[in-house]
Amino acid sequence: MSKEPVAVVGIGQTKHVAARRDVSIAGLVREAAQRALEDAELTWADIDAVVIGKAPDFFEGVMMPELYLADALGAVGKPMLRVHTAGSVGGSTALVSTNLVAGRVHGTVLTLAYEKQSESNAMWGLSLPIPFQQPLLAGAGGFFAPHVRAYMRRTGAPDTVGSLVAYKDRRNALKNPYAHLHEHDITLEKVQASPMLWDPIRYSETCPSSDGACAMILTDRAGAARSPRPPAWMHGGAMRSEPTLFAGKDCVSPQAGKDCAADVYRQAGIADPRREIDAVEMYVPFSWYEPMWLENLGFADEGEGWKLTEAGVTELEGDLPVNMSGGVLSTNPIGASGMIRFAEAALQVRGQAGEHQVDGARRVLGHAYGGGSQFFSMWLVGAEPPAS
Amino acid sequence: MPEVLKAPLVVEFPFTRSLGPVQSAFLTGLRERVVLGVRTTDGRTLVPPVEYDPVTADEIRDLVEVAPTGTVTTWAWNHEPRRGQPLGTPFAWVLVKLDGADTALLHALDAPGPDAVRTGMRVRVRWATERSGAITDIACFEPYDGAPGELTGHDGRFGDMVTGIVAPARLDYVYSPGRAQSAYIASLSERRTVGERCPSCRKVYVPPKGACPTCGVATSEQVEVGPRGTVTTYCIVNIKAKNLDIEVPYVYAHIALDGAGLALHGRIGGIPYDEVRMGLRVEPVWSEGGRHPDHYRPTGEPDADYETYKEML
Amino acid sequence: MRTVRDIAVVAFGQTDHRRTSDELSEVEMLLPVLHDVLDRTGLQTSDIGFTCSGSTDYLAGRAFSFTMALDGVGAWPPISESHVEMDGAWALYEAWTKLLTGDADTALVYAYGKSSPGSVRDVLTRQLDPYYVAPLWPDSVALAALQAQALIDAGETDELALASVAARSRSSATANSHAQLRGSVPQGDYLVRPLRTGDCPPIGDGAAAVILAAGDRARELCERPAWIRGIDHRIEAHSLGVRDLTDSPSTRLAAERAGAFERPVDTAELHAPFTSQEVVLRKALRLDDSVRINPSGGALAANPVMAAGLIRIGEAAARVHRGESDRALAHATSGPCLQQNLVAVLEGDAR
Repeated sequence: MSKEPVAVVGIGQTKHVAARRDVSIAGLVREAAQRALEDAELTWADIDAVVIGKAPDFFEGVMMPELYLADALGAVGKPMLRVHTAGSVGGSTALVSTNLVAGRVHGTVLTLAYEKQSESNAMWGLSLPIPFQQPLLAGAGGFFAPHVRAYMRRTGAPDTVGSLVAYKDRRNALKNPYAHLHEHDITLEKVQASPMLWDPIRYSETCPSSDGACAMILTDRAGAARSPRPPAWMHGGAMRSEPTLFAGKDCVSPQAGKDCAADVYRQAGIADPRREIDAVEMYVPFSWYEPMWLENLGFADEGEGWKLTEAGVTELEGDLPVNMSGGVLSTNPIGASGMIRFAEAALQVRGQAGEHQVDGARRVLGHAYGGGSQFFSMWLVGAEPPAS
Repeated sequence: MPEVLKAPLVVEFPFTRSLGPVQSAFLTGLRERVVLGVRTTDGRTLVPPVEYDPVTADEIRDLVEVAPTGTVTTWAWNHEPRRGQPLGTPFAWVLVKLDGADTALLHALDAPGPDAVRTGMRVRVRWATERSGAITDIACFEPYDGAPGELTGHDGRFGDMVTGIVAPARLDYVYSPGRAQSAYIASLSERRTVGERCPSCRKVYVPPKGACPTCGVATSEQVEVGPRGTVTTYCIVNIKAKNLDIEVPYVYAHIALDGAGLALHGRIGGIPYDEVRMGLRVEPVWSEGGRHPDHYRPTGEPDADYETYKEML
Repeated sequence: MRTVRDIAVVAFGQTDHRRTSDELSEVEMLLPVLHDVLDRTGLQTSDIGFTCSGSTDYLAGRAFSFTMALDGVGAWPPISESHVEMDGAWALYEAWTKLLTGDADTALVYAYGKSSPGSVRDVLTRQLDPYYVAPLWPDSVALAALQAQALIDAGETDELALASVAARSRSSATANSHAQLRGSVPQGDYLVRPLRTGDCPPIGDGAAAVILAAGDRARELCERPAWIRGIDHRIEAHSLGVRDLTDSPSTRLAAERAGAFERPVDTAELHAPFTSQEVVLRKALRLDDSVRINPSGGALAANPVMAAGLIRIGEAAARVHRGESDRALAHATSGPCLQQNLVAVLEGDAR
């Protein structure tokens, strides 16, 4: 028994911004879904099931919002699933949808993730008070900064590497019309002169808070054959989780991330990711996570990831472009951020990434993580159907 | 069994909701005492107007006015109003099909008692005295014995459209941290840090969660750790967070207490922030009445060798 | 319904459901249940191919609460795992699709809910349309009461019939040691008329877990696996005012897709937290008096929110395991007035 191959035939995003004051939550998700349908030249009636993901419900103050969003997503009379795996949720949501196709439950599935952070405040949503616990921090930057320091200590990376990533991603974002931050006057000096928030993390090395949604249409071989544009094919996909905190946890390079990547490479028949993968959209909410994930995902040996960044390998014109879209550093509707990585990977192999297209991208990795560096979801998409 | 720890937990936020064109027109209409519906492509009129047709999934924007009078399609008598509900005195929840509408609107009906309410009864909108463009601009419905109300002839275009609402939401919880964390908190009150050892892997968890997260078994053997420990890593916090009464800059550190299997989190004091380093040996400083150590300060011992704590990073 | 692999429920466990479990954290409440289902199959965490859970942050007011529950699983070495912000019945559905792909042969599914820290009637108002409905704070009992009145007006039931549903459920629950409300329970005063306290579910805390296995693996792990012959779920429009509250077309459609109407079932575990909702479901599922409805007592006997739907599947499966049922239907619901519904059909091998 073999799995049904899964293809991406439609992709839609909203223009990500700090606050989409012109639409409701339904209007926001609808816009991304509609664009994905248009890309696939399909209608609502062609969709068999809807799988939606987002990060904590407290962000918008709507509990289990898929109930309210059923109408806007044309889900009435259809199956609708709601995934929540913290920051990795956008990726996990896509992978849950692929199971529906791969397991031959449905032919064509709409998958979508969103966050409308302007409805509340991410700092509040991430730091609800917990009685009897000592409040020491607010927000995610302070949580991850000690891990960055540990990485620097472990590898001896020069402290400029983080700014190189931020400078690259913000310039890449200028080539992506959907990116939130379009800093036309960005310079490396400006990044390096930006205030130190959670030392060693500077302001310009952190992600913004965005309103945005991302949607994809996933389908089977028959659906792909009808696709008006080249599909992206899934060659491998996996999720891995480990506990939030435990004795022996490697917070810099978590085992769950390594295992997840290894599973994806095994499925896709990748022996040497550095040579066989053309580009990566990885979840980098703080710039230092680029070199950290380069190692975790097997693109560099332990302690060597920063050297790829420093040598320009991860630049748009480099040998292994990373975050061609501008990444999470330029766009962060939290629940959608993982799916944007997956969708941008698919755009690349479809040759539809526009100005941030990597020439000849045939195999691209999409990556997301969440929680306390504990939930990982990844897929590898290719321009050719998987060999079966 | 020791007394169960409990504390109130309030989750409260004034959510700012943008509306989109259809909801904006409906709520602006309520402010102006006009009720709008939306027409579907197959000619039904939905009130309240939704943005997407629940049957066809079409986007719909064709606004039409309906009367502020209508008929109750079902009801339920609420003798004990709860916080936030439209009326403070006993009332009926009703679904009302307004004259001219094909679907029903949920709201409250002010009536003297359940005997005065029945399905099929006629009602009309009672407008709130002060209206801001929200569903609560309809104060409630009231019994009405007359013909369908007059239309104003409005087309849904208003000056000064309401584009957003503020929806305050407060939920009250009583939090209890469970057995293991309650014991941990109780020991802190004696200025002792007590973790729990996993019966399987023998690692000591501080704070204990009642389960070893890698072995998936319950923990119960209590083990005192510290008081001294080693800073494994840290960051310097330069931005002041709201509701957090700590002067910046300060050092937020991971501290592996002697005997613990993993680091806990704390603030470092008693040393200039830019002199804190990985490997620094520290001890807790308690404040009068504080539940947790206020901060950790250097012990004066030589720094721990990187090899001794690198597995805890 | 034809699927590429046969998949069965091979073990089910649940906590005793209680009004409060404030001496236990969520993970402390969950842990014994996880051990229970592993012990029943002889499996260890490392043998499990996929893990999926269902819960909601809103119930106890803790963001990311599922990350803390994961501490009970023993996710080391790292595991293939997912979470739905839905009742555990949908976590089981996700796990079922994962097994269908052939990526895993076994799955652990769990769900938990602690209603005791908050006021669940008010908490559930946050599920409603955030522009037109949630600002009015209509609580879950009020919405169910609107549905009950619609049924009474349509002549489909009356208060006496509803009371008999309540009495039958709690009487059945006397045989269920995990149930929260058992035996003779007074029908009580109106909570929101026409619903009386007896028509409403108890509020409480609890957890449940299920193990799924495919093909021969299922036969190894369980003497009489409860084969999932079909499972499907459907959602309806959100607004109560556009729905016919006396019917449940989504339940009927899910049942059709799950093959429920192909042959009669002998047992049905229905997730009907309110007596009136059982009336709607029986009609939609065409269940006549020959079918044993909710032998566990159903959600009227124990309703740990987010786990109660999974428990229906687990209870139906357990009856198949014990040889008390050959073909059982299980149903789960989510959202106001049965907005979203899942139906599974479980069968035992011929004896």
